[in-house]
Amino acid sequence: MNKVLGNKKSIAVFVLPAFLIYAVFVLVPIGYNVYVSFLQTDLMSPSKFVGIKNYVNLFRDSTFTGALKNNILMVIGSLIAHLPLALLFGNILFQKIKGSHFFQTVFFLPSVICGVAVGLTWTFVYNSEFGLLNKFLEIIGLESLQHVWLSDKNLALFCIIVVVMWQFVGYHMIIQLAAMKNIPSSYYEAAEIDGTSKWVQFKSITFPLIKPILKVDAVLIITGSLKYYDLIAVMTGGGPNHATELMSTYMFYQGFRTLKYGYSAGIGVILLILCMCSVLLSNLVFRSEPVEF
Amino acid sequence: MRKKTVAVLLTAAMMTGMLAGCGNSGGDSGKEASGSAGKKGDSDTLTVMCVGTEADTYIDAYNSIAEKFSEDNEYGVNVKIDFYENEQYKTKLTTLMASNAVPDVFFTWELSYLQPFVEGGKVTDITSYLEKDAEWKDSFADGTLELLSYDGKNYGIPTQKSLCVMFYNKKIFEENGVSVPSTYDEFLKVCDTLKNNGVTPMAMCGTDAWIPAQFVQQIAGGMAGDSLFQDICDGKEKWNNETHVKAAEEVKKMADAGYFQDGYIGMGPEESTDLFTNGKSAMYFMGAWDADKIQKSGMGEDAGAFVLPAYDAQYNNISVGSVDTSFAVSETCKNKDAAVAFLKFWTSQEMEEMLLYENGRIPADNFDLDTGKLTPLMAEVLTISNEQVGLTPWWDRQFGAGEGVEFNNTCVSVLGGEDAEGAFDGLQQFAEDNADR
Repeated sequence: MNKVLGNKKSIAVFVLPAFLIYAVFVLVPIGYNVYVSFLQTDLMSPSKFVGIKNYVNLFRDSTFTGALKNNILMVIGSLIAHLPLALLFGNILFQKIKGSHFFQTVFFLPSVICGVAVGLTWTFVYNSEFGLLNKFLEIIGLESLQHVWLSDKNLALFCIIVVVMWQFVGYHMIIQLAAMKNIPSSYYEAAEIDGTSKWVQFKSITFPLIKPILKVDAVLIITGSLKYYDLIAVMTGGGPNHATELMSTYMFYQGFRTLKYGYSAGIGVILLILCMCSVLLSNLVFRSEPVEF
Repeated sequence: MRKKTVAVLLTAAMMTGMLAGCGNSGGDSGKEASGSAGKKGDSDTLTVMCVGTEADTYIDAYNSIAEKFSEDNEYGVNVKIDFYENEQYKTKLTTLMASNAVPDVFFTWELSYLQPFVEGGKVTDITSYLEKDAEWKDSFADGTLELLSYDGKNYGIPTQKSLCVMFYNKKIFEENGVSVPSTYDEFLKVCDTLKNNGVTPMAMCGTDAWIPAQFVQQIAGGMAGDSLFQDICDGKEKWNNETHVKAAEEVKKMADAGYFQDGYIGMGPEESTDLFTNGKSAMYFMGAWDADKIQKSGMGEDAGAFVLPAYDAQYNNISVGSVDTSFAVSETCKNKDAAVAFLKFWTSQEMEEMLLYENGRIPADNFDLDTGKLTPLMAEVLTISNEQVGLTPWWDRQFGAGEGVEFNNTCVSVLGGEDAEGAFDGLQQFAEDNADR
């Protein structure tokens, strides 16, 4: 077997099918998308080569820059909820407390539900007439804080970011918890004998040892919130007046509604570049030595 | 043991991703299959793609038209109509267009919606069919076929007409001692009286931007007539003209005066329709297509309709309206004769009468009506329809998803508190930028 795997040609044979599928469904479409982004086209009439004009127009388009800003807010919101907060929850459940398995399941539950169902549920929560949130504010006597949540252009995006935070905090908690459980317990036993506090244990043992996983997780969080689509589509459709538009929803709108496929492909390319930058950034922030247990 | 827990946890995490993925795409692919099944079937099947959901009462009527045509036609074809929800339909049609896989006959909106598909050579030119059958061609009301003509050639067949009317609750009007207004000031007075009596004057929906926008467009038409519409189409007038600003401010004033229900800005179209049909609001400005729903809601005799009096009385009876439920034949259709014959059958007097009497759909063709068979509400709507001297199509049909939808968004943002002048300046800027994208 080793002999077979030592041969470069036989490795190629094993890798080829996967690579072909990857190329056909990922690499080729990306390349085609970059090409389309230099055209002015509705994919039906003859297209016109316009160079980088689509990109110039994009950055002069206030809806697009608004969407970009919304995406950055989304990234920040998700990072807050899915790194420090998830880490906190994960660390609490990592301690041998009663019912930690139960809570793992509870925290994880929202991310099992399909995004559309989550969106619909929260639309009802935010509903201005019979929504839970406004009713709750009424009960505790804070009527002045009641809003038409999803139709207020200053609030709608934050309402959705809160849902995203809630939905995926358990998912990232599980990933981080898994990394923590991978650390040999002897380290903690030793620390305990030395009389260290829980905080020191976290700071000096847990955190450095799960750094590689946090790096991967950060990439997942950032790219996930850059290309976020479903809750926006279900809850507001990018409205009111593009106030909750994200790059992905605006890309859909420009492509499938106004038939400006070139313009929409331009948004796709910018999204791709941003996602790649986020990978580089996380690599930089979470630089760590490989660890072996 | 530890490794095992890790593995289980990570697998669970991975599964979530997959489940979420399946949840969405599974639904889609299911519909994909049902959509393409018709195409792959025997060549004797004529596939029609149409907008509609189970909640729409008209789909039974449409299906019965297809059945009747299938039973007996010289081409021996079977017609099968696939219905899709509105937003889903738009996405599906554009995708199918780009990949040359459009069904034989497809539902379309008029004007700018069909235009790119015509320019892309995806739609059959049906001028010759209309020329050959003058009787059929002449049966269409004036100006309806033109809305689906490009470069002087016909590409689509309108099956219905529609326009915006103000539905009202006769009982509420009576109880509050108000009558149908004949001037704009009277209309405002009616609203005011109702409001003071603790009745919500109008039901409005703010989540679907086109609903407040058609109201703004109606008022703008009453301020400057249909020449404003023509001038904007011809590029002689800008989007941020005074009339638009004034009309939007007028609607905002109504909102501030409490003429719409509380929290209307966050309410969907179903909620606002229900508000009206349940007798909780006195008026409801909507397309005539809702007449059937309102009639069948149990309001019965209480439902009435009038046309909103113009702000400037000289522009009375200029309404937002257009053709509706138009169909076009795709270029890839193998049996174009049968497809056109089906549309001819659909627009025949017999079928259009059935749609009118049973489903409240106003026909696009002219023929003598048996008014006795009409419901009282439909009779009023038809009278209004015949009285109109000018119809201006909805902006989002004239200009499609670009300027049209942005007009709708602009109206909503004015209602949301944005300065009207600034908002329409933004729309004009958008229109100028959009030309170059």
